[in-house]
Amino acid sequence: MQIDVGITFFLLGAFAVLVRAQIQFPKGLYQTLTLFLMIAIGLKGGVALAEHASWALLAQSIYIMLFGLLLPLIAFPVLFYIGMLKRDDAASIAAHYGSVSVGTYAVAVAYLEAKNVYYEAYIPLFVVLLEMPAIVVGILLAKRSSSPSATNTSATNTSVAKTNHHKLLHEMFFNQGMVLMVGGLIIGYVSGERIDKVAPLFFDLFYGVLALFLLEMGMVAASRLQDLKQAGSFIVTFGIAMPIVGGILGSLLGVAMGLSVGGATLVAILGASASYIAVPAAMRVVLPNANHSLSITSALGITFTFNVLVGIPVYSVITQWISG
Amino acid sequence: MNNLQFKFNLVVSLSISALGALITQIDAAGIGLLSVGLMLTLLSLLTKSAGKQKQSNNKPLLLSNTLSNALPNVLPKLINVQNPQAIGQAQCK
Repeated sequence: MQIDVGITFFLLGAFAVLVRAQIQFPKGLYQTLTLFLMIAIGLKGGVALAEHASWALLAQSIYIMLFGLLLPLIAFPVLFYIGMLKRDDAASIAAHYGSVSVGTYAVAVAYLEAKNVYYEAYIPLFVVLLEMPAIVVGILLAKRSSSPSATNTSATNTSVAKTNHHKLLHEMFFNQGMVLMVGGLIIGYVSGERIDKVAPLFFDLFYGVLALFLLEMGMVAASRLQDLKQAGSFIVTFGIAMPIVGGILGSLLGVAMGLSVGGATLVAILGASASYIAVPAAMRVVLPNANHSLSITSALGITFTFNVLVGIPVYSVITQWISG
Repeated sequence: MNNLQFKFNLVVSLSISALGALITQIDAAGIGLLSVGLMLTLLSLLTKSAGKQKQSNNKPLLLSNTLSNALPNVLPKLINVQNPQAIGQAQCK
C-alpha cells in the first residue's frame, strides 16, 4: 500500500510536535497557504465551469445546498440529546459539520489525481455552495436557544442585536473563503485562455503548497491532542462517526445526481469534512457563549485527521461500491 | 460518561469496526477503518471502567455506611453541629 506524499507531510508535522522539534513556521504562513488553496481551487472550478455550465448543474447545486442543510440537523440531536452538550455547543459543532473543509477537499483532489480517477472539475462550485447552509442552520439553532427574555430587549440591546446580525451576514457572505473561492470561480470562468498567465503559480505549484499546508496542519492537529482528553470519548467517537455518516450520504447523493465515481467521491468528502475556517468565525458572532475550542478540536483535531489519514480512501471505495 | 453515551460509543465503534472489516474484503483501505473502530471500542470500555473506578473511590467508607444503615435516626443528629443537644439525646438512646 502506497502512502500519499501529502499524508507523509501531515505525519511529519505531527511527528515534529510529538518529539518537540523546534519547527517554527512564520506566523502568517498557515493563512497564506489557506488563501492560496482557496484561490487555486476557485480558479480550477471556474475554468471547468466555463466548459460545463448547464441547467443540470443548477439542479445539482440545489441538491447540494439541501444536503448542507441536512447534515447539521443530523449532528445536532446526537450532540444535544446523547452527548448532553449545552445547546449552544451542540449548535456550534453541528454547524461546523454541515460546512466543508477546503483542506480536506484539496487532499481528496490530490488523491484522485494520483490514482488517475476522473472527476467533474466544477465540483469547487459545490464547495462554495456548501459553505452557507450550515451557517443558516446554526443561526436557526442559535435563535431557538435564546431565552424569551432576551427577545424583550431594550433599545440598546436591539442595536447590539442589529450589529450582530450585520456582522453575521458579513461573515456569511463575505468571509475569506467565500470571497476568494467565488472570486476565483468568476475569474476562472471569464478568463478563458488568459488563465495560462497565472497557471504556473496556482496550478503547477498546487501540490507543493498543499504539502506545506499539510505539514502545518499536522503540527496543529498534534498540538490539539491534549485537548482530546478534556473533550472526552463521546466527542472523539462523534468526530469519527459523523464524517462517515456524511460521507456515505454524500456518496449516495453524488451517485444519485449522476456524477462519475470521482465526482461522487468528492461530494462524499464534502459531506464528511467539517469546516475550521469560515464557520468558526461565524459561530463566534452567533454563539459567543459556545465552547469554540471544543468545535475546533472536534473539526480539526479529530475529523480532519481522520479524513486525511483514513477517510478519503474509504469514501472512494464506498462510492465505487454504491455506483456498482 | 453516562450510560447512554457509553452505549452510543460502543454501538458506533463496533459499527465502524464492522464497516472496516467489510471494506477490507474489497480494499486495503478498510484496515485503517477497522483499526480506528477497534481503538474506539477499547477507548469506550477503558473510559467506562475508569469512570466506575472513580465512582467506587468516591463511595463512603464501609464502617460509616454500616452505621448509617443501623442508626438512621441517630447519625444525622450527631453530624448536625448546629444542634448540639441532639448529641445528648443520641447518647441517652
